[in-house]
Amino acid sequence: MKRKEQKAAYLFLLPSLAGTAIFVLIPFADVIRRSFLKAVGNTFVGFENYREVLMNQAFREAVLHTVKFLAVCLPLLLLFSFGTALMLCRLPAAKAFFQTLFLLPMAVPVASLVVFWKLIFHGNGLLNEVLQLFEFEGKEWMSTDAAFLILVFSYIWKNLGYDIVLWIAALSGVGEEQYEAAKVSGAGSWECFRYITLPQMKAGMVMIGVLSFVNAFRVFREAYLIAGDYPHESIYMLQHLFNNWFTKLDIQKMSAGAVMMAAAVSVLLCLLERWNERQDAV
Amino acid sequence: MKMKKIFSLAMAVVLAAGMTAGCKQQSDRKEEIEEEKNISAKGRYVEKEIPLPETAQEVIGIQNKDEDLVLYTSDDSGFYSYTYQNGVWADLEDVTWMTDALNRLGLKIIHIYTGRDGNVYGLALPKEAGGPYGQHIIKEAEDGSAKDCTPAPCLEVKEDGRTTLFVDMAVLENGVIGIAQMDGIVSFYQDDRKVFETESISVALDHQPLMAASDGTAAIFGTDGQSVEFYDTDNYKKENTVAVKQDLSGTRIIPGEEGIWYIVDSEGIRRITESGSIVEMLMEGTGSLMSTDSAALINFLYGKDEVFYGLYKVFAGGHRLMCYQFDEDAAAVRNENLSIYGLQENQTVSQAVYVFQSRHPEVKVDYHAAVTGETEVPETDIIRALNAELLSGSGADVLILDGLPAASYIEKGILADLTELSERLEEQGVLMDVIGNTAVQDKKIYAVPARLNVPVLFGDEEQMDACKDPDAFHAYLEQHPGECLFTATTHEMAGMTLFNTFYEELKTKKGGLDEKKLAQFLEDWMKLCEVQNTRSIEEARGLETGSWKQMRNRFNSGFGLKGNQVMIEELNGLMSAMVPYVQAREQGRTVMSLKQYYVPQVIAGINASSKQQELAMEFVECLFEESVQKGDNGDGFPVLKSALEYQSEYVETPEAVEMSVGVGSEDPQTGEEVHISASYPSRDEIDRLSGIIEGLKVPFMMDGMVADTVLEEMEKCYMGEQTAEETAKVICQKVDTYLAE
Repeated sequence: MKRKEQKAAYLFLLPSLAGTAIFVLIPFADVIRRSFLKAVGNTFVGFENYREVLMNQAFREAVLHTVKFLAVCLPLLLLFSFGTALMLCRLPAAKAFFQTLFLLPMAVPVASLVVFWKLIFHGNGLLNEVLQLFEFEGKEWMSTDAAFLILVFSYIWKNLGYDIVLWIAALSGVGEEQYEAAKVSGAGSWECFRYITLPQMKAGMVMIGVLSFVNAFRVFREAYLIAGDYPHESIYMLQHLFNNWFTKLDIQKMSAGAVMMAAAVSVLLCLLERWNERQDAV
Repeated sequence: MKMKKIFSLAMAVVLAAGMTAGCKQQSDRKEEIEEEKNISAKGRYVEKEIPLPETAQEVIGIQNKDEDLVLYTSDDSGFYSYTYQNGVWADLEDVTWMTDALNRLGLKIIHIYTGRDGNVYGLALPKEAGGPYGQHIIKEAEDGSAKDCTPAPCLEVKEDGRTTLFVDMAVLENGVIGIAQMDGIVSFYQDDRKVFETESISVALDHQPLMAASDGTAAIFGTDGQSVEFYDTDNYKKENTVAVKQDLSGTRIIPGEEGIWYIVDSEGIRRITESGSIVEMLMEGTGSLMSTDSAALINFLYGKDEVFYGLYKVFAGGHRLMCYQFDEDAAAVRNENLSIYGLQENQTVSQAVYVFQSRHPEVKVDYHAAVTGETEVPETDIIRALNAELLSGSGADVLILDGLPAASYIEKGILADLTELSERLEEQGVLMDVIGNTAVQDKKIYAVPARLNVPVLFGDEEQMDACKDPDAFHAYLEQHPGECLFTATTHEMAGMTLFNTFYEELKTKKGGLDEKKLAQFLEDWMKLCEVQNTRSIEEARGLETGSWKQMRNRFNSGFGLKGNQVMIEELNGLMSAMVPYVQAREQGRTVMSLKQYYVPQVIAGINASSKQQELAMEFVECLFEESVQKGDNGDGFPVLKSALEYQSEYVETPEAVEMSVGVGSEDPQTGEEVHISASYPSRDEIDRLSGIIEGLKVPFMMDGMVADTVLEEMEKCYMGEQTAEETAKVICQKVDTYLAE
């Protein structure tokens, strides 16, 4: 009976598995193959492309900026969204309204968002106009280090609502009776949060963290549309580099870079998963 | 359960049998296709040239007369006709009425139309100023003299001081004259009385075919510009509209027999019927003279039994007469294909396609220009799409690399080695300094430029010295504050021309840009813009930012026509040399090469994955054919020595001597209107220019990314959004990242 159920499960999985294989796994296998070949033709070059990519100054810079962006954005987003979710849980009447409000940025098309950012941060944009009113000197914000902060802000603004919804879902999994029992035993709000809410958020945090991590890679669209192929160095990321490599026909470097990036992300996710499992076991 | 198993097994057997049967049918079909290929269907329209009579001088047009082809020509003494019979041109005859029109009426016939009433009509212009005003229609009178039959209303002078401008005409069998006017209205005149007029259609050219007449029917292009409307000439009632579904500007329509009409343009010859709705392709234009930009169709006639004649004016000089005829022995489908890809349409390539096609009629040539007027896709996206094709081992056989990342293609092995071909080209007299310096890697040549632009400068010696390097430029500004270096210019023209001129000096050893030098240069450029008063000039002329990119030039210091300042220009052919040489002459200066730079144009490479290597090589050789190289298409000077020498001869031909251009501009300082009328430079000047071209050694190939970044960031600096130092920092950072990739 169990075997029959397994067969049925596989049958149901088959369509999505076929889709993933055709559109993700097989192309990625080709990327792995290409990472060991010359750009054109089938000449095998071993790990030469990997060596070349690792020695590439632009790659190092792009990795650094991407990691920096993730390191700054993810904690900030998780923290803000969690805090907001906690507050919204205490406002049951206005929860639905605020939830929709925070989700609105997700519905804004990237193209119009980019136009809006440009209007604000352009050399002759709104921000500089306001600054001039207070006799401050304006600048071309996207050509300065401020570009990084603008992108961080853009990412958090766009993804905050989504993460809030996820946190609210995780928070609603905590039974109300646990808080009541704790309060009877004399626990205050902080103790309730510290010993009841927070420990039960671990699984949710891993899931929300992974989703936010994946969404962080999508910020390239905004960076590309605002500042083009070669933005300010602080927001020059791996996707810029891959995009430019493709235009220059450096498909071999692009493949090697993509394989390394996929490997790094996989290792990171595996570690996260193991940590999560260990936490569950505890 | 057992029944189920038996049923399943039976189903499996049926399925397998079905699949096998399918395979059998497939293999049979393959055999059929192979057989079809071997037999290969025969018969298609082909283009053949009819050489014009050697004694023919200025060609006016052709006419079908009693099933013979008649060619009308003129010279200083009058008008003549030749009749084509049995494959030869009969002796010339005087066309007395045309000569009479010239001598007696003072009207020179420039174009002819054949009326359905059997007469030949000439469209004439006054021979000289002071003669009868406006355009006239002339025909032969009964006594053999010329008769002006222009409808009187067309000769009335309007408020703008002009008479009606004719863009096309047709004469019906009852002598009614249909005239298509510049305002797009087609009017029909019986003697001097207007009997019918159509609604206005879009007209862009002063000679734009848009109508024709057969016995009983007039065909006129519809108001949407994409259809043909048929009118009954008895009552001018619209009988039918045939939708062609493409822009018909530049298309001709001619009547055939029994209600069949033909529409002719660069796409080919298509057939439609008065009462039908289908458009049928009779002959594809690809590879024929009608598809090239180097020649303009001036007459197209229907002979008999669907034989056609086309008379073309070739822009490089002279006329060509082509016959289009069904050849029963020609393979209906051309199995071999040669594909050519370029970002922009190019006349030299079109001419080479024509030469190649005449040598290989069995090969179908597909010349694809990615960026057309209708394209809205950014060039970077087009390049990405091309790259995807090239990486998968497909893509065009021949790549015209102008605007494409040629260096990257060479590095990745996309392009085939053309060293042997280059050696052959050298033997033919192609400039080896140009061929051998443009696209070389490891002493192998991967692409060859078929043309080149020549950056030149002229002016006061001290000012020319200022254009040597950024330090000299800085020193000049220090010593001559408030003095203009260029004639009237814009910030983009001055900035990009100077940046390109100083590019080598601004570069670091690693290939990036020196931030300090660049910042100094930008500061000096800003000072120059102030001195040149570029802001008020741009405002007064309504010049918008972005005009530099549209110009597609690398060197152009300004548009001012008069002044003693230095001028830097990029010459892209004989025609482009006209105005600069007049300016240099007026200043008493000599035109000199700018740092021995040449800008390679029409850079041809062959896709290493192409299965048509030999044909592709032959095509590339066609780009260096003398007939192709001799053309002055505005896409560069020839790189073939004999074609360069021909330029000196050409400027002394009557056609070239008559040619002149006029340019006008307002002097921003005085507000005075300045006009220059310029003809070709003299033979001596062209000889000297040819000498300069033969001595050019340094290719100027600015990377598109660097040029775009500099232009974009300079704009921000000019608008005051960032300082010169900040601009230099941003440019250097972007260029460094680009190079590091």
